[in-house]
Amino acid sequence: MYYIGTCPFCEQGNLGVRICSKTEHAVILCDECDALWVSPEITEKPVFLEEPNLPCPYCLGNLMDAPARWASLGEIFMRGWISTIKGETD
Amino acid sequence: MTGIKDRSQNKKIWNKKFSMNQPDQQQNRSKAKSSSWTIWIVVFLVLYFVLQSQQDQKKLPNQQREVVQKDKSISTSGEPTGAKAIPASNETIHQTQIKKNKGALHPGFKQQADSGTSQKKTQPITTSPTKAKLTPANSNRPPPTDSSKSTAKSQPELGQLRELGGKVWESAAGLRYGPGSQEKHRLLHIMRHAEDQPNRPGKHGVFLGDGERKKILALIDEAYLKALKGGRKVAKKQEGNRVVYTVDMGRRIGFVGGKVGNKQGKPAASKIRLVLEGTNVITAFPL
Ligand SMILES: [Zn+2]
Repeated sequence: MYYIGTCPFCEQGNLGVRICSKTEHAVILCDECDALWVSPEITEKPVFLEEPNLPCPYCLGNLMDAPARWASLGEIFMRGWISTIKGETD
Repeated sequence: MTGIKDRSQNKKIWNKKFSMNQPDQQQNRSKAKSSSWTIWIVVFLVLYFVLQSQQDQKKLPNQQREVVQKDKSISTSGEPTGAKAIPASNETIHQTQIKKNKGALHPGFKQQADSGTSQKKTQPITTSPTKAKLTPANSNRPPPTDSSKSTAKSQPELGQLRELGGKVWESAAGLRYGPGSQEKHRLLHIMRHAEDQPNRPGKHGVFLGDGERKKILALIDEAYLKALKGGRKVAKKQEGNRVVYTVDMGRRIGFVGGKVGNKQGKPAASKIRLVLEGTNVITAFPL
C-alpha cells in the first residue's frame, strides 16, 4: 500500500489511496480507523462511511469488496496524487 | 456331752444344708447376672435410641436454619455466592440484583445476566418452591461452596466474548466486534496489535499479553470501563458518530513498535486508544 502520511484522527494508521469496487473512484482511507478524505488534502475533517462496507461517496460501489483495492502507483499517478506519496507499506 | 453332740449335729445339718444349697445359689447368681446384663442392654438400647432421635430432631432445625440464614445473606447483600443453594423465590431476587449491578456497569453485562437467568430457567427444576426448605441430605443442589464457585465462573471475565450472531461478538464490558476493516473482521484487525510490525511506517502499538487474544481483549475491556467512568486519565474526542478514548491505564500495557517505535527503542506504552462507533470497536491499540 502506498501511503501519503499518518492519520490525523487516530494518529496511528497509514493513509492509503483506495480505489472503489466500481474501480472508478479513488479516496484517501486510513488503514487503522477507516477515516476517509476525498483528496490528499487531509487538513480537512475526515468523513466516516457506513461500516462495514464503506460505500463509495461517489457511486454505488464500496471500498471493501473486491475489486476495491489499494491503488497502484499508476492509478495514483493517473489521479495526479503521486507527489503526495511518502512511501510503501509491507 | 449332749451339748457337744447337738453342736456337732447342728454343724452337720448346717454343712448338709450348705452343701445342698450351694448349686441353687450359683444358679441364682448366674440368673441374676444374665438378667442384669439384659437390663443393661435394654437400658443402653433405650438410651441410644432416645439420644439418637433427640440428635436427629436437633439436626433438622439446625440445617434448615443454616439454609434460611444463607438465603437472608444472599438476598440482602446481592453477592452471587451460594446462588444455587437458595430457594427458587430468592433465586429470582438474586438474579434481579445481578441484573441491576451488571446493568449499572454496562448493558452488555445486563444481557449476560439475562442469558444467565434464562439458562437457569431452562435447567431442570428438581425442587418446587414448597420444598424450598430442603435439608442438604435430601437436596439435589450442590454444596454452597461449590455453587458459589460455579456462580463466579458464570460471571463474564473481561476479555471473554459471546457470539451475538451475524459474526458479531460482544465482550464482557459490552464492546462489540464485528465485520469490517481490511482484515474483514475487527477481532483480526485488533490482533494486528498483538505483535510488532517493525517495518510499518510510523508507530505501531503492541499489546502485552503474549499475543493472547483474551488478554488483549481484557485490556481493551478494562480501558473501556475506565473510559466510561471518565476522569483525569481519560481523554475523549468525538467526530460525528466516532468516539476516540485515550485511556491512561497507569501501568505498562504494551510498547510502541513500528518503524518509529523501533527507532526509539520500543518505548513502553501505558495508554490505550479506543476508536468506537457506539459500542462497536473500530480499532484499539496501545500508545
Ligand atoms: Zn485513522
